[in-house]
Amino acid sequence: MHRVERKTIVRTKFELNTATPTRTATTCKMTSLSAKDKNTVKTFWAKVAGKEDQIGCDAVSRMLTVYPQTKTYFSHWKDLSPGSAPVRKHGATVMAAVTDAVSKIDDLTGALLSLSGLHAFTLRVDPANFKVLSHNLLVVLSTMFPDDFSPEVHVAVDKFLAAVALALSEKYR
Amino acid sequence: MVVWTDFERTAIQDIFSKIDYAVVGQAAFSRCLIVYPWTQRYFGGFGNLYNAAAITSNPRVASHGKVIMEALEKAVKDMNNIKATYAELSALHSEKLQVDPDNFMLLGHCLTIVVASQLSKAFTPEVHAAFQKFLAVVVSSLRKQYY
Repeated sequence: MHRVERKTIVRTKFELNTATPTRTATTCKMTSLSAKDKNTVKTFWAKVAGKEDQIGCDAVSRMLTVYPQTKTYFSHWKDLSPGSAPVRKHGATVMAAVTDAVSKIDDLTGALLSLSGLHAFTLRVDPANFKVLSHNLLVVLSTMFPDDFSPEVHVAVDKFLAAVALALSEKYR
Repeated sequence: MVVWTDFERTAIQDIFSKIDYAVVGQAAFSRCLIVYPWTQRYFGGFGNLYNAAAITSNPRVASHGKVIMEALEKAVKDMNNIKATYAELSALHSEKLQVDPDNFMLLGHCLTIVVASQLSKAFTPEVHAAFQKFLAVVVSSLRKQYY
């Protein structure tokens, strides 16, 4: 009986010592992007080209208006109304980062490492809010590209944004 | 007791007067089954839901989408009593259908996206906020009879 117990303990120790894969976007089943997903996102994003600033501004405006709890992160802005100067500027910043992520879709964790550090240690945004901004981005894409934003594109972009959010959360804890 | 501003009331009633229930219902409900595939668990009897094309062309999905929109219209017609309006539907979803209430807002998200594509520029951030508030009240009322 005692010998069996020792065997079990040793086995457990061995398992614990085995290196576990670092948690990346691709090991989480909910958000792992298939080749088809990546292709769909890239193809759709090519259509978005040139309109990034408008999309970003509209998405941030909606986020602040429809989910007022997000305003708590921008109390240092003079004007939080839709389309205001700080909103426009921030929308452009966010969309530039998302567009960059599309080009680095094969390694989102690596691509977003420093932004993750920024959000985790400096901005300290509750990661639940990433979903909120993602949803508002989808709404804007739907208004601006009604014919292209099919259900298939919608699910691929939603998965992509979830993978981006996961990569952004990497450094939180 | 939910307090609606005049703007919110007008915005909600305006949206529902402009949309085609059959079109929007089918689009929103099929989108929900495609984008959040786990929601298909509640529709085992609906036939072929195997892929996006099958879902989009499924006649039972289309007719059920319309049923959902007609049920939402009840709330629009009596915005001061949404909780009472949905008491029976809430019990149905809880006791008989046994739907995880977290799924309600998933359908809400898809409906928002479809309405946004239909109304385009008219779906301003302020109108969007009013619609989101309406959906939140509907979802809250549907959750009331869960225990």
